[in-house]
Amino acid sequence: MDVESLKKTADLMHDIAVSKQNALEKLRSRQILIYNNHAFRADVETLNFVHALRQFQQDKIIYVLDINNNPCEIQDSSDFMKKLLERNQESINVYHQLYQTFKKKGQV
Amino acid sequence: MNTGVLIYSFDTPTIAYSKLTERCIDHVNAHLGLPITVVSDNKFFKGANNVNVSPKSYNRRRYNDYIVPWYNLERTQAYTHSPYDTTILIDCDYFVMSDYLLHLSETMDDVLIHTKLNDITGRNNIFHTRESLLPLVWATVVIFKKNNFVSKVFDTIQHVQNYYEYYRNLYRISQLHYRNDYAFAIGLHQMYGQNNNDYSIPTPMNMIGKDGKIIEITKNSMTFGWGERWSKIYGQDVHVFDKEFFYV
Repeated sequence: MDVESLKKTADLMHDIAVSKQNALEKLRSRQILIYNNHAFRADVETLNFVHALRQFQQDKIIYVLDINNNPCEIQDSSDFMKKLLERNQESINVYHQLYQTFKKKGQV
Repeated sequence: MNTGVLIYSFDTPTIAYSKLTERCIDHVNAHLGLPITVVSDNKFFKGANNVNVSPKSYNRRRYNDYIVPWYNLERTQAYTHSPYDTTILIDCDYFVMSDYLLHLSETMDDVLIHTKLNDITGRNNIFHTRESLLPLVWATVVIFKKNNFVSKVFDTIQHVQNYYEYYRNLYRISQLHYRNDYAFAIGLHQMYGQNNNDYSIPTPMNMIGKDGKIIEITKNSMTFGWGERWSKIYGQDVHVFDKEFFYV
């Protein structure tokens, strides 16, 4: 057993874990969407909630709490949903590209 | 409604904060494209609206095993010094590498401030969260509107600064020297109804702590090291403790 090689791999995996954590923080920052002067997270929870509201209240005004619990009236829920999806996918796409570099490093 | 960036910059015998400020201005111009006001003691910063103020007196802080002078008492007057309707107040050692703060400044929130940290070295050992009876905030970045409520918030913070020893004991803050983080935390705690942190910036502040070193910094990325390790971040705003790098 080559302990030095194991230590090198362990070090490499640690460095990848640190980079991954920072890349995830970048993703979370990028997922903050400002809409009607309110801040929302374009994450799975918000997407699902807005999608569900639209299923039952299509073409109606919807009300959503922003990140700091302020209520926001949204008149065009279709536009809101579109922007949430765009921001969600854009942020994950950037993370996906970074993730490929982590994968490559991990294979060395 | 205008939005701008406010920076405080006072050189001390040990640290040339003006060098950090020049760098900070470059980053703000590159990523936020907003007007900048710098409050300093008779320095001129190109591309900024310069406001001259004589700092009140020395405060002191620990920096790399030394006790060094620190001019940080003027920051509580940011509401008065800012010419903007919406102000992004940042430390001169906070390096903007994205347009994130620009987006946050468009919210309706009266005050936004970081309540969480991300130690970019992954060790999470920068600050102790149980060092006082207070929900901590980091006054490195403060986004605020000009209105009657926020004026009162800043008056409260100024009052806390004036009677800091009393409030330090009241909230059982262990550090003896004055820190704006605590004054802002106390002011917000009092004015936001004690059990409310509706002033939170929704993501943690990226920070590299005392033993971290900057290896290289560009307008979009920073390579940093700690111990024998190194890593790099891209397109993420970051607060740095290592000031020596900027003398190179």
